Amino acid sequence: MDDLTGPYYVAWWITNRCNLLCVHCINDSGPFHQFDNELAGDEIERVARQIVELGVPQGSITGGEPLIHKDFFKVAGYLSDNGVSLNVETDAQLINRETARRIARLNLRAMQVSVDGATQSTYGLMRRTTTGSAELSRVLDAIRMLAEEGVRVSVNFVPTRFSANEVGQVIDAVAALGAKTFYTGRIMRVGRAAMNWKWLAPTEAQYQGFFATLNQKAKEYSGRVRIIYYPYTVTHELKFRTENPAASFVILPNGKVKMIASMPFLCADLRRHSLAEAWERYKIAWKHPMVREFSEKVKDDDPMLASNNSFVELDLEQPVIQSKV
Amino acid sequence: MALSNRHVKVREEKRGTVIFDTLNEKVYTINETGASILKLLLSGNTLDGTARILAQDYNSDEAAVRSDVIQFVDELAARSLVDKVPAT
Repeated sequence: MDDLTGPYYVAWWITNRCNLLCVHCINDSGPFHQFDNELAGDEIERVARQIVELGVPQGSITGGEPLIHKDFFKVAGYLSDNGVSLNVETDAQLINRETARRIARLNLRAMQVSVDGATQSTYGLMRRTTTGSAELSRVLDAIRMLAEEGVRVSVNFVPTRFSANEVGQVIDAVAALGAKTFYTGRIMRVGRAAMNWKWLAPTEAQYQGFFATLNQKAKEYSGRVRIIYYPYTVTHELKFRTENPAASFVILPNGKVKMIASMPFLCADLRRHSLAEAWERYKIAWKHPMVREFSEKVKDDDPMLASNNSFVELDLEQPVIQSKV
Repeated sequence: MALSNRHVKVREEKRGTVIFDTLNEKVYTINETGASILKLLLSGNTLDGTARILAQDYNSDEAAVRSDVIQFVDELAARSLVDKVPAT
């Protein structure tokens, strides 16, 4: 990573406002959860321009719900038209035929839609609104419309104690609607999921059945739907990433740069630093003692991951001294 | 020659040229010779034209270079990274 000219992937968390209030949201997003200092106007354009200028080959726009950001189509269109292979993560609740047509014109790598249950009762238990539950039927309609308009649709599924056993049915349903890729893995113990961990986390026995179903479905849908899953826990990933940082980072709604979703550490501020400077700071940040200490401690204390949205700005102005003590 | 689709990206790095197949989530690093071939083909040269230029640059036999160019392009095409290339 040290000799790379820029990140391979940038995840742009463009707003923390969301139409939903999901019980497992890693970003703790919601209808009233917009940061009070989110990037806007010229600042958004400057960040988008710098992503292109730095030659970042691929990225994603996430939230919150990206589609409710007023500049979403402008930003996504600019990035996609200027060489960034773009993925957009959405709950798909706001997609109608006209929106699907507009999305098709963006030429995205994929529209990644969250579907966490095969039944309304399961889906609605996870995907909450301020007044009740989101409708599964709206998401399934959206997938169908997106696929009909030629948008490549991928689906993301988060298993919980009450939804893990529905994964096979979800794969069947979204495959029939035209989804081409299915992503899943263990639920991440971060953000709101960490707060609700006791009633969300599947048991190991459930995970065994879950992964067995995935293997069976991967064979069944071979050549039609790619089924991709990451079988490890978030602490396992953090341990690996501490030694092998990915060439990617997260841009927060306020322009701060977060090293990785599951840790609270910020390494740059795009209101003060260019994206190229942020990249150099990111590389240094992985060697910071606080980062290494967090990664070490979290192995035995994974409730620490609940602090991933209590952001900590790293002091990178002083030379980083590593100590084994 | 063109990249097979808009989601295949190419970036120059210190350690070589990197090709990103973002749809299939694969990354390839190619050596200096491969990078030279790719650059010439993507800028509109034919296979023959590319072989001629490289043979001159490296003071090598044009037929041998052409064979290497074809092999390299076949490997890229087999991975669906590029479209078919006109020979002449």
